[in-house]
Amino acid sequence: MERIKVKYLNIYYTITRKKEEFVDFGESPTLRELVDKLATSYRSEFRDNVMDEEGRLKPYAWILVNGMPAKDLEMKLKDGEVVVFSLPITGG
Amino acid sequence: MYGWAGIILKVDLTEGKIVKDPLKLEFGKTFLGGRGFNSKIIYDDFDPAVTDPYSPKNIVAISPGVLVGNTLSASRICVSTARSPVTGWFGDGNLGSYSGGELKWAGYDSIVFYGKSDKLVYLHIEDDNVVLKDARHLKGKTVYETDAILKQEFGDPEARVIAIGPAGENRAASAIPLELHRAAGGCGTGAVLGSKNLKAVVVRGTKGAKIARPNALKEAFKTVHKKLLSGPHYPMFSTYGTAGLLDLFNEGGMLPTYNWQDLEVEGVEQVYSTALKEKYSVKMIACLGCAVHCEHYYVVKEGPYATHGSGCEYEVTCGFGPRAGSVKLDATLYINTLLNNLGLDVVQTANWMNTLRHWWQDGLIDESDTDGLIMEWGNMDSTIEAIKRMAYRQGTFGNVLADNIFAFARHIAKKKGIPVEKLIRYIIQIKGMTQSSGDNRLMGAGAALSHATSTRGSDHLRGVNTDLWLVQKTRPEDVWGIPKEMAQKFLDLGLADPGRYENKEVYVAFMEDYCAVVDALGICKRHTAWEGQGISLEDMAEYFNAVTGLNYSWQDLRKCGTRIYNVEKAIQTRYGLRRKDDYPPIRCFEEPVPAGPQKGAILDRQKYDELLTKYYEHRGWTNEGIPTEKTLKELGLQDIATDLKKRKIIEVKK
Repeated sequence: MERIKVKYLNIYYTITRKKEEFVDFGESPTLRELVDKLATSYRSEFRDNVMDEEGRLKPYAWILVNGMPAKDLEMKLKDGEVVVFSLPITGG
Repeated sequence: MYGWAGIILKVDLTEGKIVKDPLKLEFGKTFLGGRGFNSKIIYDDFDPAVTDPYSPKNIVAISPGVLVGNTLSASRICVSTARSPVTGWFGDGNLGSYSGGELKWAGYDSIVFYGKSDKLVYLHIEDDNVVLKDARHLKGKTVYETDAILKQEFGDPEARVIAIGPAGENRAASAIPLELHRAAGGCGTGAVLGSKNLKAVVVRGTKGAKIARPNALKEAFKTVHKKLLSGPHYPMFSTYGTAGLLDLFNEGGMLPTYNWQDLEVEGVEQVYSTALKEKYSVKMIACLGCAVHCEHYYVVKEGPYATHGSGCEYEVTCGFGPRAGSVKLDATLYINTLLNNLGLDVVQTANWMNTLRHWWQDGLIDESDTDGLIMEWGNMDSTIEAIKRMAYRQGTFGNVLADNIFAFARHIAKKKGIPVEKLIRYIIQIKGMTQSSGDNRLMGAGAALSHATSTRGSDHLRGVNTDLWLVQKTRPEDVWGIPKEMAQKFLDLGLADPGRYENKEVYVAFMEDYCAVVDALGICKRHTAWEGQGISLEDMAEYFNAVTGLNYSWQDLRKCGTRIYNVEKAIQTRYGLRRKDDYPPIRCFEEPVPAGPQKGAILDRQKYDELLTKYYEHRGWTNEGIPTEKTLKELGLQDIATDLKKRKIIEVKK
């Protein structure tokens, strides 16, 4: 079993009302498969804030995999990896 | 004349004279307003031979941007500029405010303070009625007390007050002018105002804004407002504010802790924005006419840090949190209120305090140097006491630290026989300006260059705050707020790779010009491409044209930005700054990132050197970073070229 730790920041926390959770897969999922699975658990608002109608990553969805920004949704995730959903923000 | 109010107020504090100088339309068209006005006024009116920021000959210019006072959400930035006591060089600070609008509605585009009053005074502005009034009854009052007293005296709750606190009166270098919690942060212009015995400006304007094309403005408003409200940043900032950045930086392995020695601190979730929201934030508030309410009003009900106040930003939650080795959010909020009341800048003060801790950690200072304060990591009680002593110049410690952190380093070096360079190495700074809570080793080479070439010293607000905006972007339309052809160029040049040095000068120069435009128009950067948001340069041109009746393209606006940047660079070259002053902090080249997903990351000196050379070439500056006569002429700055030639800064060909 592949267990992915998922963390939600800012608007994604507002949508899920969870700070983090574990999501299990039979085999290594892609980031897209993770998003699809999460979209079934939460309102469509979650998917809408991650990808557009054509399934492309939204320009503002800032997804970190083990702390590094994911470049596309097809990247494979491995057991124990941490995925963070956030907006890209800066400046204080 | 539309858009501009039409008058520059010149206040001679020595003579007590106020002159209303008509604004020339050409000046407005050339420098726009806000930061653009201030920079040119300082260039023209300030003698660069005056090195003491507290000399009566120093000048403070305060100007709202040209779009301030009309309907554009987020257009309320007022800029305060002077020779800085923090850095010794050119410095300014942006005040997100209500007072900028009142100034415009009263009929003024700028206030410029000259000289020094022989007693404490404040400037009273009520439309055409502008007078200097006795402020001796305000001596020692905090920013909030001053605000309340002056509003009562004015007799109009709608009047707005820009004030300095006790720190400014006592010339503590990091003192700034504030409108309550809204701060003209950065370069210590509050201390300069204090040195002039100017306590406050109270202003009320009832003349309204002069709009050239009201219907076009209405249409532009609809477009921009829709963009703002439909974008993801609206709920984000209106719920968590910039404090939300701390959560992201920590999860992304970019959170500086212990004065940039580490990226971790135990219990960091206690200072996350979600904790702030759940435990202390009561409501969110906004600046004048802004749709985004990004500032927390917070209450700490009980305990040693019981307090209430507003405006808790990432810089305070990180600077007085993880960077200080602390996760006590209640103490951080207490400090935020304290700083706002005393009238001190968050970023500089936090850096100075954390540098003291770092020196303490390495045994370079002890109680004998701090008048008994224990400056250990996470000890926020000693921080609170140190801030108060600095603001009131109490004891040797407070008095010397108030001069600035470099003065304190020199004091310790002399006292203990330590080479001063050894102490200064600990200070994360560029041109004397200490850094905000980002890490030049982790934000991309463009951000490192932009921080270093910033005309007011280390600054994330002057250009590229992070190259990471471009990561994940493959289509120009995904790069929000940037004209399509520029965005395409960025992608074609491969700038989406943050680790890449090549061609980053293109991105940096564009964003520096962009930020100069935003500051001159008076827009909050949080709504623009600087923050990855949607108010584009094209939108700004549309707004500018509707307000002023002109027909500027985004390229015309950019040229104004380039011009402003060159004026500021010329000011700095006149002060003597050169290539050596455009480098990131030395530790970024010598200390690899110790942990996190980018463990081992470090800036490459040779690559940076090459990038800086390319940047100067791209800018049309010499290899020492001096604007050439050709560049200045192309920007219509012949007068500056002539002046730099007269001063032999630009070589005269024989």
